[in-house]
Amino acid sequence: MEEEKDINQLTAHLFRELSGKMIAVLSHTYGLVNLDCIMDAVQDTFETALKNWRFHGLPDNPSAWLMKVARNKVINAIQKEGRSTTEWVHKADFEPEPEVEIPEHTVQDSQVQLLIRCCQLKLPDKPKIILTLRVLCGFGIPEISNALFMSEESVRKAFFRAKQELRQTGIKGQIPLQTDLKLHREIIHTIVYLLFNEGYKASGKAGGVNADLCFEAIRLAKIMRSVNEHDQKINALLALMFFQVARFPARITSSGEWLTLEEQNRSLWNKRCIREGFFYLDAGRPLHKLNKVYMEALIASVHCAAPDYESTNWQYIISLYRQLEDREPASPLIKLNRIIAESHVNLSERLMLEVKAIEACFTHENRFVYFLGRAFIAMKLQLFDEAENHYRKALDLARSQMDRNFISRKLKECDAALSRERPAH
Amino acid sequence: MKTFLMLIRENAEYGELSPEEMQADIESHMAWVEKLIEKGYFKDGNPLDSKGAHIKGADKIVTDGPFAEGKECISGYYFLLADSLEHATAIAAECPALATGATLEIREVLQTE
Repeated sequence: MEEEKDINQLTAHLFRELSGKMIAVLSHTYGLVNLDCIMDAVQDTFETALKNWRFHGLPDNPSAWLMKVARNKVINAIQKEGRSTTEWVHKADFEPEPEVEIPEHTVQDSQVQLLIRCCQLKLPDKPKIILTLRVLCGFGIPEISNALFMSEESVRKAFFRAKQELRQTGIKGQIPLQTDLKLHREIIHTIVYLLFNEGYKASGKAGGVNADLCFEAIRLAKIMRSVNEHDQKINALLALMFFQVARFPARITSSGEWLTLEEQNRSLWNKRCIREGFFYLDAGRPLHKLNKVYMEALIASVHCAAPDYESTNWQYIISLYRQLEDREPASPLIKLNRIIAESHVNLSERLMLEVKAIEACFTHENRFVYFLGRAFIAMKLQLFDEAENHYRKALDLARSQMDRNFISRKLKECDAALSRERPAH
Repeated sequence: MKTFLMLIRENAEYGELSPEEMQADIESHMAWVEKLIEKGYFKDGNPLDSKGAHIKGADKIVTDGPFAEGKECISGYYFLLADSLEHATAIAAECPALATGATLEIREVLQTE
């Protein structure tokens, strides 16, 4: 474990991270069939810590202390139910000893395994994300409901169902890790990507939980990368995530307002994250054919490399979007992004026609993005009536206060432009 | 300096606190205790197990309280050093357990010879 003996302060998010690690290691040892009892034990362990540490401060090695207490609670609970603990013991990589010092690779392997198990469940994406957040990332129900814009009740229900599914897989026995990895790599990437996106979409909300989602996605991706450093897709995914995270500090003003890429103060971009992004981008360069994630990372890297908005290499970005369009002709979002990129260099009425042509492709969920994109193009073309109209449509669909503030600001810009055009009589 | 006993009464179950919230709670308590020690107000303190026994009256009836009514129980005690009850109360008012709904009781420990 990374915590040193002389630690006199808790690492940020230590409990949350340990919760995932403890559940992973314990279910690796005692079987997913005991998942309920393991999760209870872990929660219980934190409560025990809560009681004791309040008065006596930290033990020498907090994470080992927690691991030991949790393991004992699990053993007690299983024995209380009259079952033998060895009955379920998977060929453990470590012998349960009084002082539990679990090798780092066991912790990693257990987390990878559990992530795979979560990903391979035959469930829709949302419940899988909820399950992953709760079991592997140690998020509480209210935190998840906050992050995913769902009511606590529906999060709880979805979690409960998904957890039962996961428990069931424990009964069917273990599948060797390596086969699993190859088989489920795609879905693992998807889950990590979705997790990141959920955080990214919501990162404007007050409170840190949502940027946290992004960092959890990065943590999980790094765990996956530890299995195979040369996995190009996971490297590309990490690159993409780091380029996005790098811009977080500039996305929001101190008064809580969104800023567009154009308005952002680029000196606030996190240089370290950008450098890390380029490191993974290098490692993620595909040997044969390009993949979507790599190209998206490439596009993000072009933005991060530009010293200011005006000197962005739009032509390159457009060509990348065009290649993406060829790969995924059915994605209206890629098309919209390409059109917006084009508006910076070849502004013409044709772009508006193209935007209008794809309106029907946007379903309820992403109509908000479409209206914003259309209004943006209209502004560029100085079609202020059209812009106002679509900002209003977007406003109706806006879900967060930050989104509403952003659109109101844009509407004011429209108003100002309109009254310049038509001076008051 | 006089010695005061501070009893913390709170819900025996922490319900759905997430790991993050529990860590925050621990950190706030440790910071508080550190401050007490620094100012010389801290004498001793311990948590109490939530399981307990009640014995009542001459019949010596034993129940497994302390949850006779509701789930609130004494979760821990402190011995604080302060000049007066007012002083001790002012010190106790800073206890982070209050923020999570705890009740504190402060009583002077009388020295008998």
